[in-house]
Amino acid sequence: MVFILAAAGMIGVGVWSNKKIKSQAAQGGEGFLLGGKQIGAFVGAGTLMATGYSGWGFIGSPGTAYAFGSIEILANFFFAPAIVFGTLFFANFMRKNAEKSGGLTVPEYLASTHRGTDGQKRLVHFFAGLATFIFLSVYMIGQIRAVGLVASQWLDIPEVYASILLITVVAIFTIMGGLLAVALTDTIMCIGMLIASVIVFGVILQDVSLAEMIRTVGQMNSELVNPTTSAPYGNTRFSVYLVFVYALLFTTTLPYMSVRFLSLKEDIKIHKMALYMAPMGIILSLIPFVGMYMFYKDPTLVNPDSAMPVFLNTFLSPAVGGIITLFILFAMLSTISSILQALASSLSYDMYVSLGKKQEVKSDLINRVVVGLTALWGLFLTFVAPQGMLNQIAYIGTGGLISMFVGPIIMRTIVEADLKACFSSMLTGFAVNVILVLGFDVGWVEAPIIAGLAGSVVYLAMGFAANSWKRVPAVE
Amino acid sequence: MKIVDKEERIMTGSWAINEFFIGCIVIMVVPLAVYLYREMVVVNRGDTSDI
Repeated sequence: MVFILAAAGMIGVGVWSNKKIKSQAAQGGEGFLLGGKQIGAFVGAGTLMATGYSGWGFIGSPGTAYAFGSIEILANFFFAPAIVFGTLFFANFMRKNAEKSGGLTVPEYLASTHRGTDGQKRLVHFFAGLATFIFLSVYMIGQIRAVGLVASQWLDIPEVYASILLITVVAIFTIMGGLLAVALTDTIMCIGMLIASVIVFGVILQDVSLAEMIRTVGQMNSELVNPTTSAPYGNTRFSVYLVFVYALLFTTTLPYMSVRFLSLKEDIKIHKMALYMAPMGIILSLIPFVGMYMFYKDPTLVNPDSAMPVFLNTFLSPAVGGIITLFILFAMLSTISSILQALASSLSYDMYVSLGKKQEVKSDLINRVVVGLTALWGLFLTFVAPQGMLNQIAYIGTGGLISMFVGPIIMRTIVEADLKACFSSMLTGFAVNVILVLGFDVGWVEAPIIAGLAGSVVYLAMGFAANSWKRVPAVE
Repeated sequence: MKIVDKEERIMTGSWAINEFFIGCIVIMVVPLAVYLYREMVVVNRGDTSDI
């Protein structure tokens, strides 16, 4: 019953968003793809935080904290400053450039903010769209499986049916309302996640003080409290700080995150948005403490990932536990809806426009139909792809895209390079990431950072060389 | 290891959780400082197009 009401609410938001974007002057592509650029400071903050802090983090992060201790609390927290600072110092740059050049998606933003021939623009637009489609398809597999896993336990139905049911709900509200519906439902989910975090942390503090919990866990296993390495994030104590760099790149380059910068209202105050985001990030970062608390209460759990489900079933009333599970589930759906929207637009808009040479083709209907087809594609992949390895699948998807887009998106702030530099940088980032992951078994945090760095060096070298070693070309 | 030993005596007793709380302060202070700076600079300039 609760699930039906929540699903109906999300679809209702889709219907309302549809009316809203249709009532705006921005009909067609901009309305559906960029929410009619109606996203203000609070909704912008909510959608970025909800998408960055996926609901999966509510299960996976306490599990990692149970197994590895305080290092996970710090690593998980790094997403908060990364999203806040990434937005604070980068969103305006992207938003203004997109306004100037007219980019509706991240691949189009890359093509339109670099100078070159029409053929080069279409090549970069298509290639970036294709990469987005492939890597986000891979990423979506992990997300759909995760949501199926949680929903099947909660609704007591097989995983396959749970996945189909929930993806259908996501597809319906995304088809109805596009990015605006995605952003609004994200914000509602973010509020739910914040409430869940406060309740969970409050329950812990009612039972034991933080100092006492840390002291006791330290006596049981000092490595969990004062780790000498950053395992599972790296071998040295300082490796954990790379998670901040990774999360910063994640925020600014992944299309399903950074497309939000393009969809912000023209008169938005980014600094006000960052002020909303900061406390949200801190509150959402309290969730991994559940893992440490569960270790304090019961250090014998066989499966660390069961830390949160056991906590909800043991220390909360069934009603409160059920509501929090619903928040977790729908937070996971908010991430899937963001990916689905970015994935569909890469197919219906980026690849279609770049192949068809018709810049005016921004058919609203095509965008909506392709969201539905992409949802089917995601479900199909979920069932045919190799089972298991949820995290690995997700890391391959996000790491690949980050590696490719770091150069052309972030280094663009340093030099106004051309499309040749943009394309070469993307190819370099992609190739180095593949070599590092497959050939050298480099970790998921380090690989995209190193590959992105290689792509950035290529971008800067080619960009400056083409500009006669100046930041801006002498003649446009 | 000496750094760890020294750090674990202060604050929460865990260097990672200490840094978590320091990070919480930084993440609040930086946006607040930028907000105040932006609002004051824009108001002083009399330019309201950016706020």
